[in-house]
Amino acid sequence: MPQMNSWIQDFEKVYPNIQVTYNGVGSGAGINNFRQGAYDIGATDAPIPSNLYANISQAKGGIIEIPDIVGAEGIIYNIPGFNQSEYGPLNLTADVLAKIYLGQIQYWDDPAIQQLNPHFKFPHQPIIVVHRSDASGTTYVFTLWLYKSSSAWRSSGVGYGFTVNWPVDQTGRGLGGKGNPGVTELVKSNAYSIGYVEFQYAIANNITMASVQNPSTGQFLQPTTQTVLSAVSSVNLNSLPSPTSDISNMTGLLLNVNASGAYPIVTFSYLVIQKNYSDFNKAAAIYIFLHWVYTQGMNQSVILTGYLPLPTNVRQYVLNALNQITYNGQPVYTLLGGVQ
Amino acid sequence: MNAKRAKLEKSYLFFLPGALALTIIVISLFVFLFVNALPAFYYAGKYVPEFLPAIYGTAVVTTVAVLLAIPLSIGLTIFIAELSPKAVRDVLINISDLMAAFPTVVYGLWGLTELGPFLKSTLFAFINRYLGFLPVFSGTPTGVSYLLASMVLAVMISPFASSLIREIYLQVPRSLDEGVYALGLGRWEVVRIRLGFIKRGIAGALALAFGRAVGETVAVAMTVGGVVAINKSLLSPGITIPAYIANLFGEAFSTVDVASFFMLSLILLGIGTAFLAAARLFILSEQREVRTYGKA
Repeated sequence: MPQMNSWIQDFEKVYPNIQVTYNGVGSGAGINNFRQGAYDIGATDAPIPSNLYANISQAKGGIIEIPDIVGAEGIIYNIPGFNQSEYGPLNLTADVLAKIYLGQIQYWDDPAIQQLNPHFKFPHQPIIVVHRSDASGTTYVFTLWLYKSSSAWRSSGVGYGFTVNWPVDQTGRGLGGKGNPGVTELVKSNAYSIGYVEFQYAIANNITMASVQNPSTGQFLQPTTQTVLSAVSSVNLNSLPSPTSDISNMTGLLLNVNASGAYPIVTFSYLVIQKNYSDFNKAAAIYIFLHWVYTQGMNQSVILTGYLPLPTNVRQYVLNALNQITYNGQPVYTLLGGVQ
Repeated sequence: MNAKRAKLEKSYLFFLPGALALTIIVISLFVFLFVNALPAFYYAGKYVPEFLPAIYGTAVVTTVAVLLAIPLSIGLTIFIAELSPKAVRDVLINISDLMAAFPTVVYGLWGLTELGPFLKSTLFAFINRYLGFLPVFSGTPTGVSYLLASMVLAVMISPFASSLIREIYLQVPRSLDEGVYALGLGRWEVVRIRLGFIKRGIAGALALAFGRAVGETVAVAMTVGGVVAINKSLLSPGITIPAYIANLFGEAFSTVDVASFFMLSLILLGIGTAFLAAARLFILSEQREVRTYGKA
């Protein structure tokens, strides 16, 4: 995540004695390397799934999972001749996207797509459907959103997860790309293709995104800072689950928010850390770094375009969680004398 | 004499550890894979649907790559050995050695961003249009595909196969040529007879190339399409064993999942070893034959 790199750079200017290294891997690898002790802080686009939570929490002697930033997912496409300035944004619904990824809608001139975009005459071209080939939180959020929003997806039995068995792959029209760059490259190089990527990645690379219908309101919206903010600011975030428990059901919290102007596929990304440490310096460094991230790091000037800082009540919730980081059972927060 | 022997024994002491260490590492690698794969044998049935596409893709991509490499490598060999002037020959040999040493990620990037999109709108579209009635060329060409991965692989292994074939080809005694010329036959026949003479050596070289291709990871992962499915069309995307492992290994969580990756690695190592052994047998027997002929 580019935001993490940017945080680290700013943080090390203030605390040159604390060195933080970030390794940009998929969420699955992030969690796995954290579990095996290669990483002190695991970053993931979706919380640790319920079926793994107990195992990982036990292996680490208790963990703390906390949201760190607000992001969204955009649908990118490559349709020669379809020009947004002329025909408006490409309109899509969850049901249409589900049926495209299920392999049921095969051609761009399918009545379901044509009906949503009456101003453009779609050619009779097969749809090339791009997804992630690595295990990814982006896939988790996208499939969870399809699951929540489309009865076609629910009845298909595909479900949701870091990886799923995409039915469209069996038709020869599915493609897998590694990471956001891999998906983007495949969409760019294949005419009549479609894919999903992180909103921030699409913004940074200047890629046009489709307008997606929020099933709660019926509105078609493109992801923008404004439409993502509308979603976050309309959710009641006052009673979040305990950060030391399985928080996997938090993923759905920001999806399909019922508020005017709210983009449907909005999500937190998360950090996961060990709760107790036997190395005081490490415990202190992690505490100080994360404390900085959730205070100065949340200033709008530090946040990259395409992400949004956490709302203030969520920030407070996380800062309280950080007080639970302990060194041999004693809170690091008090050992440090409540600095900052 | 004694001093010489003592020296020899000393040098044993010097070189033995290296040889021993390598042998132990190779054996322990097998043992390590096997032990780690054990839980997966127990659950093997559960993972068959996941594995089959990878095994199928590996077989298809590698076989097609070797088939494509046959004309490429033999052509290059004959051109270097028989047709090109000395100056050109040296340049060609250097270029082909350089190609064999290129980092594979370079081939992968080239395949993904240049060759794939280009072939998709030209060759693949053409084949699909006129031969699409055949299942192996049906479907929607997607650029990245079994065929693209095979072509990138063929380009990668041909210089290697060619240098092996060249070595054997040049071992055929020139007296054979004289006999052919004496019969009033021309250069073309000489080449044909020489090639016929070393056909087992060529098979061995290609088996070695196969062994190399079967384990290629980066370049194939980037060009095969990253899709866990069995597609009958060569123009469709799929997955191979190394690409599957590279894409998903870091993400494995439960012990059974990890074990299944080790089992796949073991299968891959098995295939690679079998081909290496076959190649050894072919090439050895060829060299023996050529040498016997030279002596007679």
